[in-house]
Amino acid sequence: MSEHTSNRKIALLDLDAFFAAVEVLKEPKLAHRPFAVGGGGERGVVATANYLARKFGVRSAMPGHQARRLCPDLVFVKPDMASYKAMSKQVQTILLRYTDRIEPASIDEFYIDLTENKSYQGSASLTLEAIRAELRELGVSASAGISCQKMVAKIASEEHKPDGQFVVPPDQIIQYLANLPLKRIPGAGPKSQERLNAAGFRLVRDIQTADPTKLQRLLGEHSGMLLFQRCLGVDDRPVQTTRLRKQISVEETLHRDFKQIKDAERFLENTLLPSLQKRAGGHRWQDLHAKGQTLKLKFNDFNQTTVSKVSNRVSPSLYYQLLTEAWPRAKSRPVRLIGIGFTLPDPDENRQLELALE
Amino acid sequence: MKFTISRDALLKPLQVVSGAVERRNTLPILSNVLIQVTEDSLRMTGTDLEVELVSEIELEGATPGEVTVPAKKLLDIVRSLTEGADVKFDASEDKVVVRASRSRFTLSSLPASDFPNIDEWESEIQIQMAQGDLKDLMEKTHFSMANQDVRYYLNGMLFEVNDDVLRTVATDGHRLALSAVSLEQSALPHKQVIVPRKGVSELLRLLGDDDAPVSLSLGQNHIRVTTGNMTFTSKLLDGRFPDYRRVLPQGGDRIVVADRDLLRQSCVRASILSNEKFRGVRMALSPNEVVLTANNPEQEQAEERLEVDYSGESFEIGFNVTYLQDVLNAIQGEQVKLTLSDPNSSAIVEDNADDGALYVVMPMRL
Repeated sequence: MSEHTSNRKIALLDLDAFFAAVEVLKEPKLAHRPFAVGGGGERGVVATANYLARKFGVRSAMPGHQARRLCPDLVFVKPDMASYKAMSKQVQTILLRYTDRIEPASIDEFYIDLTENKSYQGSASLTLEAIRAELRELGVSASAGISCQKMVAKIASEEHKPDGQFVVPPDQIIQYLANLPLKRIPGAGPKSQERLNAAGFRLVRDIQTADPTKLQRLLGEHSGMLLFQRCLGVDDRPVQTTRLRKQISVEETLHRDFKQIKDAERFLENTLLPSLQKRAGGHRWQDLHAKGQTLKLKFNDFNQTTVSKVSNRVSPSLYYQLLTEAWPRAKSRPVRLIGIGFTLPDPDENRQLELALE
Repeated sequence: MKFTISRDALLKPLQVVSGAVERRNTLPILSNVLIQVTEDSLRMTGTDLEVELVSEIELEGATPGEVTVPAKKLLDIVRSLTEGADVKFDASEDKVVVRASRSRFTLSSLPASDFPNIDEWESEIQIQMAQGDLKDLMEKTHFSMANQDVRYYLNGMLFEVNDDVLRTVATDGHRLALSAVSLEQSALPHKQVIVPRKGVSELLRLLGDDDAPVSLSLGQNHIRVTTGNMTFTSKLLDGRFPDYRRVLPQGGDRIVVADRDLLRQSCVRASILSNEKFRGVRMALSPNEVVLTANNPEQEQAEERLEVDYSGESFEIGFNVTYLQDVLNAIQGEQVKLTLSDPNSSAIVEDNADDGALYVVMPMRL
């Protein structure tokens, strides 16, 4: 860990059951009933459940019928994105009174760089306590993780959830991470974990003492090194106040499941492609620079698959090719959702030229 | 085990040895320092299993024994004692008592027998040189080492011995630094080893600037540097270092000679308004003038004009300004020479009066 990065103070502020909290503000009676935002329709999925509903096992991304089975009295509330966005803006306004070093990671999560913060004698803990008190007055509660880097701040924000905070000082990062199961480290997906488990790696501690070249053989050169560094608490990513759009995508849940690829192709042509083009600013396809294109299918058992191809410009015909490639993975399961998107090239990437070392 | 030593004699060696102590704490005993005492000597060892540092100090009338104690706590205690104080150590069972005038500390200890040793190894080449020369050789290149690169063999410094020359090379894939020194020995066999980053930084901390002799030993998997009473041993990085000779550009015909300090100051100022992440500056050459410009995403701009010796045609090239600054800080002469060929090919930067070091910097696309 370099001097510079271990001197930082980085927090992740995560609004607790955010959509549910906003709904309670709109309809206070909801506070005493288990309810879920989303999932009410025939094919909907729960976006957020309040803590009463979570006691029954209702979770985000759970299909509505399953949630209802777990909690028969569950109330379903229609999502109201406009009011969530408005509240998220209000939260940002409060944060901006403390620092402008804020990176919204999503509608309800914010990275905050408090390194230069002067409030409360520069104490990040006290500043976060104050911020959370202000939010509570606004009617939403938040949990926070505080450390000198983003990954640990994010993991720590889950420790005292809801409405609590947790600090991991720089010199305790290694020990803190050591006892966590590997799945808590972002980036170690289910496939990698299977491979790591098979090789005897279960806790972060196992990685910390491992030979990085072994991890590289297991996961690939890049991912292996990245996991090794993450487990040793290396994460130099800055809090990015100006956010570049990294990808543009659209997806839609179908009114009825598709069993034929013909239906999917028609849907692509008539709905998704026009909607993607609109989202990308209405430019002609040949004028849209990209790094790659992706297509996603979600099946009626809620498993999903994605296929991607490298491309310099967005090509509509490539989406048909990706669809043909992804479709057989359905293995006769009907398709309930289709999404398409493309990743944007980083304008400054690859400007530094490489020495011909090899 | 029992001994007395003056605080001032203990502090420096303890500081050096603590540098090697494991900071990640993956194995409890690695945060300890090993203390071994004979009747007339004290030997302290710190290690993280990759780098080992040993220092020896003379003692009088000590009671022999060996033990390990927490390194950082002991260092903090010794550092904060008053200058000139005498420090008494007394070890029993699982405790070590440290006394100095009216202070008394009881530290927990772990058995010395659990302290890990670096495996036995054999030296193949031995070099004698002045410690200042070795330090200078490393300081000229260390900043170009990669940091946490997936090409792990770049996360260190290449030491190359050949006949009567010792060279160090470091590269992160964007720039390369090369420095050489002539030895008083000759006919040494050709050998290359890669010393890991941590070893390089600990060695730089321990070496002084003077002519005191050091001996350098290279083995199959280890390097050892011995000064008067300190011994530094590091494991080597496995892997093949890229052939630096292939990277040195040939035939650059645009030659710029500039005042090193003026160019360095211009870079410092221009860098203020360069993109924080990519650090690009544009270097525009015209006869006898260089103009550096930098822009950031907020559309702010810096422009620096500088008189230089240049007689070629007008030409523009981009660089990461940090790479230029690093080189301009490492060079000590009054003038630097830049040899360029085209905006997509590497540039050579060197001291105009000294060919002991050479720097290759890849440009950035403008």
